[in-house]
This record gives sequence, C-alpha cells and structure tokens, in this order.
Amino acid sequence: MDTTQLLKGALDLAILAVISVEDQYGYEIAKRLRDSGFTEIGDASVYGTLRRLEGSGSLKSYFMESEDGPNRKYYSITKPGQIELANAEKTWTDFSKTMASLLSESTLENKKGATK
Amino acid sequence: MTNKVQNRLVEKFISEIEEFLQDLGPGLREDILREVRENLEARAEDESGELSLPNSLEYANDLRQAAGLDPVAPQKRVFKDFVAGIQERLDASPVAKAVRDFLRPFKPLFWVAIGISSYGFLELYILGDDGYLGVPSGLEQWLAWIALVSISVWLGSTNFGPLWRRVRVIATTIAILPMALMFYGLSENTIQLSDELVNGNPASRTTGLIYNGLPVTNIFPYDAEGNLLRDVRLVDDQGRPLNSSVERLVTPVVVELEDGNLVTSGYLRPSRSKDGVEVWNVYPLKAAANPVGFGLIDVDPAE
Repeated sequence: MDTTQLLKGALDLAILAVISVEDQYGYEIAKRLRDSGFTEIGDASVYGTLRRLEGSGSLKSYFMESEDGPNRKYYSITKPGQIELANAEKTWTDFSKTMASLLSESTLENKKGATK
Repeated sequence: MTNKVQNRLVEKFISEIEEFLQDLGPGLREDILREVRENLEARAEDESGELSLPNSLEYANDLRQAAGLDPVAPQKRVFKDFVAGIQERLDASPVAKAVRDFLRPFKPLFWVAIGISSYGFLELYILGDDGYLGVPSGLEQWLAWIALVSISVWLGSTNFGPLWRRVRVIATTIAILPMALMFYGLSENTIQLSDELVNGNPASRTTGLIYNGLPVTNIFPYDAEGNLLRDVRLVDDQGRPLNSSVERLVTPVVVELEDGNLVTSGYLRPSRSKDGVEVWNVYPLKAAANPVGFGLIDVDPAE
C-alpha cells in the first residue's frame, strides 16, 4: 500500500500536533515528523502545509533570531488551530478505531477460514 | 562536496524553484524561498556537507500542492524537463565537461567580443559608416566602444536573478546576429579597401563617380579660357551634387618626392562648404598632417 497519500491526508493533524506542544520552525517540524516515523513526507510538503495552515488561520508565524544564521520563521498554533486540532484528533481517533475494528474482524474471519 | 560546490548547487536549486513559483506574488514567493533556503542550510549542517537535493520540479509541485496551489504549468514543465534533460546529459558527459572546463577561462573574452561586435554593428548598420574596419576612428567612437565593451563584460560577469538571467540569455542570443553581420560588413569593407588600394578596382562600389571602371577621386573644372576654377561645386542635370567615388578609402596619403625618396606628408582632405560639409569635388584637396584629425581639422574653403 502506498503510504504517501495516506500520510499526506494526515499531515495537517500531525503538524498541528507537533506545534501544539511547542512553537517550532519549519526544519525542526519536518525533522520531528521524520523522527516520529513520517519518513516518506518530504520537506516541501511540510512547508506547503505550514503555509496553507497559516493562510487558513490555524497557525501564525513570527521571526526569531538564530545563533547559526539569519532569523528563523517560527510557527505557533492559534485558537482556531487548537479547535481544528481537537476536531481532527477526534475524527482520527474515531476513524482509526473503526478501521482497527474492521481489520480485526477481517483477521479473525481469515483465521477461522484457515483452521476449517 | 566542498562548501563552494554545495552553495552553487543550493543557489541553482533555489533559482529553479523560483522559476516554478513565478505566478505567485513577489512577497509570497520571497517568503517561500527564504524558508526553502533556511531548510537547505539547516539540512546541510545536519548532513555534514553531503546534502542531497531533490528534483526541483517535484519539490515545487509537492510544495504547491500542500499549500493548496495549482501545480506548475504543464508547458513550463515540458520545457523545463527538456532543458533539465540536456543539462543532465551534459553534466554526465566527460567530453562536454572537458570542453566546458577548457572554455571557462575564455568566458570574459566572449563578452568582450560581444561588446566589440555590438559596436561594430552600430557603426556599420546604424550609423552607416561604410569605412569602418574594426577600429574606432575618433575619441567619441573610442568612448562608445569602451562603454559598450564595459557594459557587455559587466553583463557577463554579474550574478543576476532568474528573470535577468533569462533576459541576458535572450540578449546574448540576439547579439550573435550583430556579431555575424559585423564580421560580414568588416570583411566586405576590407576586401573592398584592399581591392581599391592594390588594384584600383572599384568594381563593387556603387556610389560616387566612376570613369572607365575606376573611381574618380577629384574633378578639376576649367573655364573657356583654360583657367582652372577654384571652389566650384558640380551638379548634374537634376541639381544633384556630384561626389567623387572614394572619399576616405583611396589615396588617403599624400606621397611626395623629397631628396629622391618618397615620403608621406599627410592625408588628403577636401575643402569644406560654408556650412562645414566636406566638398570632395572642389579643387584643390588639402593635405592634413594629422591623420587622426582626418575630417575634423577646420579648413578655410577660401584658401
């Protein structure tokens, strides 16, 4: 199964979740996602999603001085972003529960079929 | 990978991404590019100088798609793919690399040549100087020559953004035409000059007076008593002034016999009319000692 499309669908939620813990800049967010297992997601998708979420008002940005180079653009979650995150979290939890239930039923049936 | 090479690759990558974002507003585009640069710099630091860059088109499309923008325009993609394909093949070819490395030191000369040919084109085809042989003839011309060569070298050596780089490529392509035309014009002038100087053959000349196939360099009018007339202008039956054939190119030097030896004493030049126009079919021609000042020295037509 091509996981890339699946991951892209969940990217908004993943990014909002990362930023809700702590304000981050683009590269750190992408790195955090990769470290969490989202290895298939490219940096470009992360930056594009950040831009869209900022455009929709779920995120806001500000610049902060960096010791290593030019100022960095940090993102923080807004109130509407937190509401969106809560809704998406619920949707995702319900969805994953439903999917997990379906898959476990299917696995059980397959096992029964195999033992007959 | 050295820092220099890596920086060059990063700049190339960013400029390609910029090309794919041309339809966005400048503020938004700059903001996105700034983040892309920041990302690449941070990655380069993390990856200890072994930064691997993705395909710029795929990167731009991923970014645009995630940001809710339309993908890169298809026709641009086709063209970009085509150019990228050629570039990749060239990069992979050791022969192309060797040729490129060999030609690289000559790059400034190319831009000097573009400047010179642009000036030649200006002289030959815009200002209509038929006698131009590749060397400017006066101070103003030299200044114009230096200005054009300097601009050309500056254009060739400055790092522009992608838009200006494209303008430069187009301008250079267009400048090839003046270069070809200038060489054609110069070769024509040189052939004609050598033909006239060596053989006295003005066969290719189409202006001025011709007598028995040879150029008429001056006209000597006499009155009915056989007296030479001075300061005369001849006109044809339609009132058009007659001009001798070879104003600047033929017999520019006055050759005189001095103590049994031939010596040159100056350049022949015509008298001038009252409004300062050179009048070539007026007797006598004046001899100007300074060839650089040819055509510039004021000569009193009454002399």
